Amino acid sequence: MSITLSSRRTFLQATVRGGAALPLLTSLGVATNAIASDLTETENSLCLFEADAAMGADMAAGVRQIGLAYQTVTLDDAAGWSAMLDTLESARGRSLAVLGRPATVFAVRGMLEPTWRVVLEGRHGRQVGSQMRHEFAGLDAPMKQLAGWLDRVRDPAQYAVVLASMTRGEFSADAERKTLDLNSHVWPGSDLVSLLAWPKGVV
Amino acid sequence: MESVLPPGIKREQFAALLADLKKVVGREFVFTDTQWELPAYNDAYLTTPAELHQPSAAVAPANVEELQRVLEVARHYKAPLWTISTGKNFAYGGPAPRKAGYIVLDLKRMNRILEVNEKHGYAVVEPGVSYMDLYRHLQKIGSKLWVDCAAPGWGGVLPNMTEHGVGYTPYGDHVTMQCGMEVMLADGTLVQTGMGALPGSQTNHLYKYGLGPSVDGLFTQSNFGVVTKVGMWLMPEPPGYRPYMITFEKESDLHAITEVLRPLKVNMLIPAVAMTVEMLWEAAVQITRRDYYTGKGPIPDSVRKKMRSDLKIGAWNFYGALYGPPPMMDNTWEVIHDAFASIPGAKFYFDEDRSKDDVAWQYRKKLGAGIPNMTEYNVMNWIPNGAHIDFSPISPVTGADATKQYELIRDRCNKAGFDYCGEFAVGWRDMHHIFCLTFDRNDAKQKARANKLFGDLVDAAAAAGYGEYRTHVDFMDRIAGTYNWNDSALLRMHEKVKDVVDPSGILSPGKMGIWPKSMRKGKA
Repeated sequence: MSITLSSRRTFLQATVRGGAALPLLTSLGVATNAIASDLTETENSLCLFEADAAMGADMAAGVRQIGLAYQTVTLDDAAGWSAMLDTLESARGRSLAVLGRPATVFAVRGMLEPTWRVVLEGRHGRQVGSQMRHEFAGLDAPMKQLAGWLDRVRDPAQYAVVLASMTRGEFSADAERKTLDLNSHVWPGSDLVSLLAWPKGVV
Repeated sequence: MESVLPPGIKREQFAALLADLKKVVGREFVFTDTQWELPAYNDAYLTTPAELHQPSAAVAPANVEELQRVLEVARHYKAPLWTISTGKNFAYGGPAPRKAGYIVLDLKRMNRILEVNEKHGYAVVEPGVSYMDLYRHLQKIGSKLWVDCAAPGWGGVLPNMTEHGVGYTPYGDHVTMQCGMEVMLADGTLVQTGMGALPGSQTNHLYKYGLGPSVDGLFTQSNFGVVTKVGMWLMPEPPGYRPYMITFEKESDLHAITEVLRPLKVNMLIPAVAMTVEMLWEAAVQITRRDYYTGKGPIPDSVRKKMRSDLKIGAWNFYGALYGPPPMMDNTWEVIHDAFASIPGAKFYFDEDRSKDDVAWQYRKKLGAGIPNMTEYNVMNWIPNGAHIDFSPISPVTGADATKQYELIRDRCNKAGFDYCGEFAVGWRDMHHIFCLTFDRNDAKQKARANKLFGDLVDAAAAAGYGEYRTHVDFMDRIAGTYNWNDSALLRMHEKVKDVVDPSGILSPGKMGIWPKSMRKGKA
């Protein structure tokens, strides 16, 4: 399943009130020349998300509607886990966004490293008082880019799209790792962890 | 994370060592980047500072020839290697080395399934083959052999056996099911044990013992060599499989359950490694703690009762399975049913009695048929930032011992502010009591309490005559120290063996408390 730029742009336009797509894509790190060329490496980005009701209202439907290339991950099924491993093996050069419950993402990360580089990990937990706590650890650049989006996305599916929209842009493997804690409105579903990764050598 | 050096090696020597390793395995398979690569060799579930276990590098050979040359380099520089295979031994240290500075010897790339013998029912695998890998392969070739897997299916077939792991089918005692082993000694010598020592042997994976002393056990939970290949017996698909679950209402039923169970196990009416599982383990794979309780300290009884009712589980939950032709299963079930029915409140379930959405039942059902899955990992969702180390004493299969161990752990655990979450894996003559000590890995105070509790449990269990079968890298010396009969004669014997088979002391120094002569004074 491939992503069409127009569907991603449609999503971004629809998500942010009063925002124009192009600056938003740029602010997310999507190369502007990519918009002209209609085909970019970001279009090959892949989202893995947990096939679980805890992810919120029909994550798969939301992601499918947006047109994001995705694969569901499950801890429960050997075939599904195997399919994920096959995908990772053949995902040369693609960026990877992972979203799931903490145990699942921990397990996925265990299969990624050290041949993939996880540039960002986000822990998204529900707090008392209708707040969502986001604890990021990783490179500064994607962290800053994502931070601006937290209040704009409505649910995990939209967050997945934003995450998968990140390009390697100017991320440098030599950059210092940092942490950032933020609050936002509550997302539906349970506590989640997210990863943004590239195969070693790409970043 | 700052880079560290192997103990006793200067920076210039380390650079030369790395260059030599790169000549052997290629630049791509020597990992030194502290930001991007080496974190993969940390233990995310540590209760101690990560710096204590930070590797200086990792090296991943692809075959025995490369391994041989890696050992040569290590011997030359006297560099300590820490052997891992799939590196998924979480709760016991994961891929992290015993001490900072070791070079992780990562055998993940040695992942060939060398043989599947359908007629005799075995497979021969290298260290990097996971249960998932073997299962996929068997499916692909249309094999009628079953895998016996660990609960998280990403674990390795070979390393789980060498760590004395157990599974869930009648082939669940993995060491018992191992037959034929290839080991590389520290000096690079490749040894075939048992019948494999006979050139052209026709029975390498059929008869375990060969001629003379049987040495396979010396290479399990040890640092006497690097196991490069093993034969594992695989169970032929039986003509029938009927998993069952029996729930028990009261916490105090553990005594009666275990007493009923013993003759059934000894007489092999329950052939598989059966499980007696406490309710929180059942709950933790499918819900989170805060779904029911947001207070601090152990969960109150009233809340536990509500959980049991909602999830249709007992205070204790027994999982077993019938295997064989249907008439045989019917007869066996009659005996098992009647025996457990003597316990008031026992409820019996087959597959048709449990919901399709019952997470705990569904994954246990798979495990009993050797279908790998990762469901049990959900236990880590129980609390935010969930992590665990497992305290695993061996118990006799008696009600008195099971209860004594349970209370010994539960009381200390509750006092320390943790929930008891545990299970008994029931073998022929023993039970592996697995207490999953779950803590918040971002909470330094909780980690410190967990660490202290673990140590207290080691001491209390030893004082009561119970020893652990496996442990986390942080507790290897302490637990090895409890096996101290006759002035630690066993440990001293291990050390003598170590000095002979690995005089340079390069292989996994400190594994299970066994240190090479050069590091004995420095042991933690």
